[in-house]
Amino acid sequence: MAGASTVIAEGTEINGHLEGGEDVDVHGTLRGSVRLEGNLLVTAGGRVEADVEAHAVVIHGILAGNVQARDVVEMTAGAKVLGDLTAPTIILEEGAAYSGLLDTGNVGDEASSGRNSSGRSSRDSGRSSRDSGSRDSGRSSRDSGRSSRPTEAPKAAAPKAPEPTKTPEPAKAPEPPKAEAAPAEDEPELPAAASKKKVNVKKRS
Amino acid sequence: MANTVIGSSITIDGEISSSETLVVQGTIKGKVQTSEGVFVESSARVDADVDAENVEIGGEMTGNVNAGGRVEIKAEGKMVGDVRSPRILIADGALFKGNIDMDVER
Repeated sequence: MAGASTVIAEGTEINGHLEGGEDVDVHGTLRGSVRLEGNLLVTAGGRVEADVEAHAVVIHGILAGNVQARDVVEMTAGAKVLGDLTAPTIILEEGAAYSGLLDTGNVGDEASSGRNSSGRSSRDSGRSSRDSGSRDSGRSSRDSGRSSRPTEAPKAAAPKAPEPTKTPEPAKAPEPPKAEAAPAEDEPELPAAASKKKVNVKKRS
Repeated sequence: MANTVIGSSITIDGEISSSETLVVQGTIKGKVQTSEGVFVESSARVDADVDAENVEIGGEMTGNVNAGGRVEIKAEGKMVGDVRSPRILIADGALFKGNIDMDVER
């Protein structure tokens, strides 16, 4: 990926939306949003504060934002990443700092029937049953008068706790209960915070 | 590779500021500011105000150009907008519509 046709050099800062069909190497700073048919490379000195959609995303530097890759997201040693990642393959090398949600399930054209999503949904369903239970118990006393519409209760609980059948939504869909992952766009300073709570995960593949 | 290159399939909607030379082959809308040169190549389309040292226009350019050094509109270039620079070149065959202001204090 060294010979990308588009290069954001060191000392260059782009604020806005970047879209295109080729590979992009970021040595400088990119803020806003990125949508590529090709690959995005964030070099060791590079900084991306943007939601990213690309084929593959390789991060040696800093990235804050949600990433959706059709192929792979790779974070190498020294990378600092904050945000939710969705890709069929996610590589987190030893020495990379990461905070957020990972999702290797349902991506792009792939069907939602994979076992990845089932693993995830079991976790979510556990959470949703807990959440909806506590919430509904409070409401049911109030709503009991019009409990003749049983469909109302699950619908009301849906935005907070996604139903198990709906989990294969793209990770872009906000997952409110995540305190540390949600503020990715709001606070660009957070990559520094991400580096503090360093997670070392051995390379998977 | 010190230059920033915006490839031909890339569209940027926003602001670019740089301390390096900028080579544009794709599309830029918004604003461009660099202390070095800007090269708008023949495949490029720039719809932006440009503030740079030198500007070379070989593509389509709409917007005002402010250059501390030199502005060149090449034969294949199309430029609509005002140019403010102490040195201005418009090649034979170039299309240009706008005002020229060479009265820049240096």
